[in-house]
Amino acid sequence: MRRLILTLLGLALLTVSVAAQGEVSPEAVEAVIEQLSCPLCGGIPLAECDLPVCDDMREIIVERLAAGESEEQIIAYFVEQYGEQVLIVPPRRGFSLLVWVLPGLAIIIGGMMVWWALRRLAAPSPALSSGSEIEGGEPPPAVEDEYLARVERELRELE
Amino acid sequence: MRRRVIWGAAAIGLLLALIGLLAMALAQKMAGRPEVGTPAPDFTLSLFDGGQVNLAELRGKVVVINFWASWCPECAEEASRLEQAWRTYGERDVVFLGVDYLDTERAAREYLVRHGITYPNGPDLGGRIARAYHITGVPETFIVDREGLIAHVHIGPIPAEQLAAELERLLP
Repeated sequence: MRRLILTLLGLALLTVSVAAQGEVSPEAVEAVIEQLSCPLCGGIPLAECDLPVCDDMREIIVERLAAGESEEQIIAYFVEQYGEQVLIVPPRRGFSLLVWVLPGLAIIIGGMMVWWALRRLAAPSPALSSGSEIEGGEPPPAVEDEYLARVERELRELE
Repeated sequence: MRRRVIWGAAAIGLLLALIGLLAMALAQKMAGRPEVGTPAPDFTLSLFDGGQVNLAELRGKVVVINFWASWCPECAEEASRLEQAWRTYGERDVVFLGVDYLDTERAAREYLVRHGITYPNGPDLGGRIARAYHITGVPETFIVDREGLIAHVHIGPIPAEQLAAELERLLP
């Protein structure tokens, strides 16, 4: 947490110093930073990384914004330098598309399996569903257990 | 009943397809580095000083490919040795190429000046060359013989004597 505060403080100072030369708002810098991760440390957000490479990246963002580059141009520059692994959110194409598709598929397939399992549990036992009602009473409760079904059947035969 | 079979087959098919995709990704990741005696993967390096170098066009020469980064202390340790070797063997038609891995251009340029490196260096844009060579980190050095085959691989800072011995072995 302390590291994050120090990083953000340093970033704010850097933004102010560069903004004195060109107009760069801290919001614009943050908007770029929050889309990027550290290229060396496997997914750690750029805002939370204190490696020299990440310090340089933050400086480059401020400088490029001050030079008039757009958010998209700066992101494209970093993707060219480090590959798509530098993006916090993977692009919705190619193999990365799986990252977007798999959770949805997992939810759909999992939901279908749960629905199928619940339907099976709720279905009345074939042994009882085909049987006659107990005299003067309610229909027998659905019983899955084969043994209980057999006991019920034999009791009915004794009556 | 028939509907259930169709749904079951579809679910199993989907599952197998996903497993296949994951297996492909894993196989790609686990694929080994180019071994000694196999062709060195071709690449084009855009140099910090402008221009480009294509490995295939260097066929007939011994090429030393060194992966480094300005943030890597072990790279700094071997930097002067590599420069010294370049000055010695450059005259004997050995080409040295520095491939800067996951770095910023500013830091890389400072590093090159700080260590007085004069042989061609360029950024590994998108980490493509590092992926082709399956490097495990930096520094790593690959020596390519005059036929374009990998003659030697060294992980970590390469000792001067070892580099010299390998180059002497490959030179006429």
